[in-house]
Amino acid sequence: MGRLAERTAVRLALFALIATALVWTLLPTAAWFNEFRDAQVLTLHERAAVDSVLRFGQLPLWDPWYCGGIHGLGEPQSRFASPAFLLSLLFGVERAELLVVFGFTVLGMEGTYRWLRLRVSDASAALRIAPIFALSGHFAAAYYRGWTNFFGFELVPFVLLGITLAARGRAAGIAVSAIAFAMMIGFGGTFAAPLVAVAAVVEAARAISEQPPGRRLRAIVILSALASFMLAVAAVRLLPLAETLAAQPRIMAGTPGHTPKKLLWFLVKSLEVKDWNVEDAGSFYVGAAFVALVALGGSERRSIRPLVVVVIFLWLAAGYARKPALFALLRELPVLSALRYPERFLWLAILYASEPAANALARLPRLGDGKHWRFGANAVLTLTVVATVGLQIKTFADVGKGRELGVVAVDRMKEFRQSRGNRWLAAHYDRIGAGSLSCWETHPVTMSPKLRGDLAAEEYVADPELGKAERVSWSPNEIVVHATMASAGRLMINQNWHPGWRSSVGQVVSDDGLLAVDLPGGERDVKLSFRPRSALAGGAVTVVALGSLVLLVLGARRGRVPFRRGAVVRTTALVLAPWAVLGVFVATWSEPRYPPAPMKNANGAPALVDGPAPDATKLGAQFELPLVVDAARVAGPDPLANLDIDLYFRRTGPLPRTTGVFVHIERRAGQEPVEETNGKEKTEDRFDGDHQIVGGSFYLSDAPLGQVVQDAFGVHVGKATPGRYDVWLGFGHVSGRRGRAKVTEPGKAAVDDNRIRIGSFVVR
Amino acid sequence: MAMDLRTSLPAAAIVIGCTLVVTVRVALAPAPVPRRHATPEERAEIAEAIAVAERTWADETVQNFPADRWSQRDDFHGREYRKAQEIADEKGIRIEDVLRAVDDDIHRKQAKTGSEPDERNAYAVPCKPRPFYD
Repeated sequence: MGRLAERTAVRLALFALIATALVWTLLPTAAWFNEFRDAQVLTLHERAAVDSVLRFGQLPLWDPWYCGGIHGLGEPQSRFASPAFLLSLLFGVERAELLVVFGFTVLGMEGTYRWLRLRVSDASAALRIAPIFALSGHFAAAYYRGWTNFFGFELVPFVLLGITLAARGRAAGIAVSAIAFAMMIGFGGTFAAPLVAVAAVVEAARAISEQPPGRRLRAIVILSALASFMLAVAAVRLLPLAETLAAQPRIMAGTPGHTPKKLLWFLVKSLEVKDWNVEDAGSFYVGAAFVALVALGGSERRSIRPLVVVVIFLWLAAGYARKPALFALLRELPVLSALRYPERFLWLAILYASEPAANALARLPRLGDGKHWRFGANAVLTLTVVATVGLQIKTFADVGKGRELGVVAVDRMKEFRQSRGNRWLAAHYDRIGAGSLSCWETHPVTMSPKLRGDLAAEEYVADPELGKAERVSWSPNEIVVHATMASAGRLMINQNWHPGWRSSVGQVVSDDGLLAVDLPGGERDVKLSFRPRSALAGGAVTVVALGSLVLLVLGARRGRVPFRRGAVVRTTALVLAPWAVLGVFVATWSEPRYPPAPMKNANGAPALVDGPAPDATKLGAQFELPLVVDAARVAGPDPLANLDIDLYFRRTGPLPRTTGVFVHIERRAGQEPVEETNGKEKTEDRFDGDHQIVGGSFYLSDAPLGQVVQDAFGVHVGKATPGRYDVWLGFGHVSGRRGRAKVTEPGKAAVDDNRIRIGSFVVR
Repeated sequence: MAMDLRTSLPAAAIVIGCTLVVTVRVALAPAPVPRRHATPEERAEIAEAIAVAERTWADETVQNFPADRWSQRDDFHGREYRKAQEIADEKGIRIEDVLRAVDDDIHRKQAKTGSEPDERNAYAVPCKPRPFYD
């Protein structure tokens, strides 16, 4: 059994059979469309790329069909920058999904096996346990929701495998990690990337610690080269992503957390569909038997290290529910500040828990004496694992069948135009030849407020008196307009501006975020082309990095082991070559910077202002935190029972990230109680407007020092009991050292319970 | 070596077989048949029904998400989505025809520039997802 397990072909045969069983019952519906809301958007991204290539013969750079136009490679959720895109091109987006599931699941099992075998001596034990991670419940949940890009997470074992191999001095490890990471990122695994970064650091630390002291420095140097190659090979995707997210950063607040019981339920409860979504419980299903195996394997000395890692990942998965919260600490780091869904660390916990589980499979049969015991124990353990894998396959099939399936019919208009759209039905819009301005993404997309879904023509002259414009040809990356200008004027294109747009005539400008060209007078064709530096430079860096990797691995095979004597200069040159290409691009390819979008509140009001609005009540209150509340305005309730609140404050010193604003709206004490009427909805005496992100744009701790922040928000008080209400403001910490900051200088405000009163109103 | 081939060849055949079977079944899976097209009369009726419903959605979305323009608009579209599905199911027509009817209706009174009054929520509200998910 052990010898068979070591044969790649045999393993792949087993894994292919398992993957076939996984998708088998879903194959008849392969051509159907997943109507789940997230699937709409993710399918649209993939389809935009397919259409760009097949209909227009262009690279999938600009996606005009969503949000008024976005940089396809810079969109965190698009997945076409990976070899799996060929499947979408060949079979269509819907049909390709099950092939992706099949292929990535096989890769996930093989990667897990190979990674386990680095430290698990029994090949058959590693083989038996490898499918558990690759079939875990979150892949079923991802398939249900159309999160096909999450299957990129199946490549995590390969990233970790490469790290350990590289730390052990094998150049192939660098290639394995770099290519697996690039595929994952290219496949839309941007959510996985921060988790993988954490796992990579843990794996690297472990691999280095396993090396004899004399070899550790070299291992560190090789792992640094590996990190460089990971970034360089993924550059085609990372550079556009970095450009997008630097201009449109995602800010995450909240204190998500899970109790140990809930974490256990994530792992062992059966995953079910309810109210057209999958339940939390079971969404990382690996089964109770797997957990038991981990516990049994935990008694092994060799399982101590992986178990420590498992505990760390469980601690992270607990989020803010476990004090102190390691997750909160992680969020303090710049790249990881937007982490959410701490339960996703269960993925890594499962992967690392596979090692003690495999140790249990290897060790338990040897505990007793005699052939019968060994055979019996092996049979029971194997059947346990087979039953678990069977349940995982059944879960996948059941959840997959629970999807709401629909038909997408192609019936395009003659000419592309933007429509009001609807992100809940986004994938149906490009089929009618329209773009959807209704936009949901995981980050605040820079969109022009001048985009419209009711224009007579998508290309027009800003001042119609100055001239006219007529479309000559249209494609995602290239638009030709015939402009007749009586004098110099501005041509407007009903799409978002991006610094990658160029024009054959005049100057491309951003008109409040809209793509526009300042033209001289006269009649001519104007050709607009999208050639973003980030994608072109990223592509060149990726190509050179892949070439360097090939040379590195081939050199190692011929005895020129990386960073060994005689190969230091060569290795260094290969590591630096991709970055030299990037340097050349930066030096020679001019392009304006993609500026961050103006910081605004959710109601559109600016987040940073010169001073409070004239009608705001002056306060001048101070707290024991370095904050000054200059003024506040409480307006309403309006006829819809909404209260509009504007706070004006300044940060005067450093604040911890956990600092938040709390706003309490309370019915004033001492008023007559109002009797509830039978049959009427219950009224309320208290409302909250607590939040951690101010001005709709940044953490309170990141507010520019000394600058007046306008923090605008609303509270609906439709269920308020009639009477007079006070609005109280205070500051505190959302996690860690909880509690309210004391008021040190109330200014003109009344104080109660470490809060200042910023306004009052009456509900009749 | 002989032992290698005895196991590796059948194993490789299984891998190729599984891949082929899955690929062929995916490629040959029957494509779903789209529903019928809406008639011009139905399109007009749909456009009118959605336009009327929009007026009630506006107030509700403002109450659900006070002072949050993107969330209000997203809530609006959530309601539009349900209504469009409901109409498509009820009439047994393509959802694309419902969306096209609405879009044509919105485009009927066409704006010439970006600064003209907007009566149908046809202007873009930049995406600004809420900063919390717990």
